[in-house]
Amino acid sequence: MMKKILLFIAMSLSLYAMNSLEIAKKSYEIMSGYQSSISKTTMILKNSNAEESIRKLEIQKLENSDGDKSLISFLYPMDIKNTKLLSYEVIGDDDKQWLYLPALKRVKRISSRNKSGSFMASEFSYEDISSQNYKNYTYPSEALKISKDGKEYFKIIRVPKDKNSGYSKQIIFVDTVTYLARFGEYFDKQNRLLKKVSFLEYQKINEVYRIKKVNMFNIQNGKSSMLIWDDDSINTNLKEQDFTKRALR
Amino acid sequence: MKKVIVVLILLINCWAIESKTNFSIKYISYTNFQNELLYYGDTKLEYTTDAFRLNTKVKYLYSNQYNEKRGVNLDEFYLTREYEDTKIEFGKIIKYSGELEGYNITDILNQKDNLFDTFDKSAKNGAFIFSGTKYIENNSLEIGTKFYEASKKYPKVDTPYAISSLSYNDDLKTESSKYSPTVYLKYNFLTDENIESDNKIILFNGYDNKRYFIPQNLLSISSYAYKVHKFLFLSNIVYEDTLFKFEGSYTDVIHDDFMSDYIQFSFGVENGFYDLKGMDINLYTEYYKYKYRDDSKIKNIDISEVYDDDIFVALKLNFNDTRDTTLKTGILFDIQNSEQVFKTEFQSRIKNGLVLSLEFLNIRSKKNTVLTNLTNHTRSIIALTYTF
Repeated sequence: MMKKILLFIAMSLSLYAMNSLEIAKKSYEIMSGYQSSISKTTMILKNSNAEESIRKLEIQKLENSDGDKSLISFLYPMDIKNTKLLSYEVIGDDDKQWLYLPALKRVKRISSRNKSGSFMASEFSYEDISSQNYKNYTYPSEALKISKDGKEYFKIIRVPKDKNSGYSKQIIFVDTVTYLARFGEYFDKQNRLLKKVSFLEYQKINEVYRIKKVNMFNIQNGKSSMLIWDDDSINTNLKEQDFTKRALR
Repeated sequence: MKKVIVVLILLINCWAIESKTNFSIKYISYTNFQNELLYYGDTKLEYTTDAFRLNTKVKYLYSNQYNEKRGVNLDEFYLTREYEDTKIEFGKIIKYSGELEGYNITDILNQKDNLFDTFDKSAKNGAFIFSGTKYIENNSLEIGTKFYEASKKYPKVDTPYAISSLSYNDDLKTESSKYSPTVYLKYNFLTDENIESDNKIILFNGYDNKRYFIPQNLLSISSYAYKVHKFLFLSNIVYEDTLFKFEGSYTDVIHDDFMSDYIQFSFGVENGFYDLKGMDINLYTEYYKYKYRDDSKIKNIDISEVYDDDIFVALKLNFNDTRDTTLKTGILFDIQNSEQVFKTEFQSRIKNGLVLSLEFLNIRSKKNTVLTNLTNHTRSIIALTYTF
């Protein structure tokens, strides 16, 4: 019986392996080219008792080959409205982040080593919401082509280059036709399964794929968070100067 | 009243005015004073056109126990005009400057609102300022003028946080006219190569933010504002997962015979520990020092001098739950006088926009210090804040 199961699994896998880096690069590239974007998003947080809490954000992004820049403005709940987070991504290293606290009108530099820390009390960490640039990871093995629920995926394993990442590795399942990531499993530093991510919906804007709905489920604490892009526009003419500390006030 | 509210709502909708209102009900229990029920809040309005932005902030409070804590105050009313790389601001405005968490030596443009809460560093009064800022990427140069030196209110005798056993007259006395301008130049620059730091240098000329008290008669005192040259420096340095912070100032008293030149400096370290059983913990350690050049002159004249030879140790616990629950606790310990101020705050959102806060403050002062007048006491607070 065991042999049959192993045989079945082996047959469901493709007999050939592909280069994981190439797939990750292709997957990244079909979502690149937006230059700049302005998105209104809703985040639904669910605790283990299924109690819900809602956050609303505006995310402005500037695409850059050296690392994206982003400005996140918190819109809801009202008590955190106008709090802003400015981030400069540094490929393979600590990002740079500043937080604007409206009650004091204070711009506070924050340590960017909190990659594994929760973003707005959600199951998304700071590194989950930052750019998923393929250059931020190494790919220790070849990709495998697998079948699941009648669909084919590339299964790639990626390891964060940043030693401060909260993950030891991530397994991403990429659609073999569109090269869009569909779901994944993230492992903690002890190599235990920590989170399951589902990229539930994409939309195409001017030939660029954009994520529309993503769900993050934390296996270890039973909480989940859903991030939904309510409104999304790209090529918005945002400039470098829209992502300086001045933009925080 | 209903008509006013309806008109206000219509204006907000028609003119695309953005608004944010916090309204709180706070019950404060004092060990040495009458307890109070405090209703307070603020409303911020922002009206934006292509040409300018108008911001206002109105603060209101009503204490059922203390008459001095009743009223409405226009904290901010200012215009902002933005250009490509320049910004101009004019009006009554609150500006912040500082790097440390417990106390900011360099936050000197606005006077503290001691009636609202002596221990809340966000409680400040607006000042009439004209400023222009030139931006070069993440660096900036700001030139500003404060036009008017406003008087400052203090809690009265026999109320919490009274500063003296003599009655206080809030008629401010000044070295020259109250309209004599205070000017400042602030240069903000980042370094990125060997050391990753964010720095500010401020040159300041005009009335000192600190004031001393002069007798009005045998029974009352008032504040006196004197003129100074000030040099201030702020910096924060990021090294791995630690933030190092520094604030310092040198104050040269220009003419006043009773005040000595003085130096203030403070430094702090902030460390974060993330995702510990789902929680984030931030640890803060800070030290503040105050040094007069001439010790024979006036001392112990302002609440800011509490922060002399003091260590501040604090911890912030972020539970990362759907209610954004946080617990902050810290102690300010005076090394020289062995005085202590202990504060703990707990905050959790009950519903979207409705936040429950609990606070505990304990002061243990010694004789003949700045803290003595505040008296040894404990205050406990429960508050509900609704934001809409």
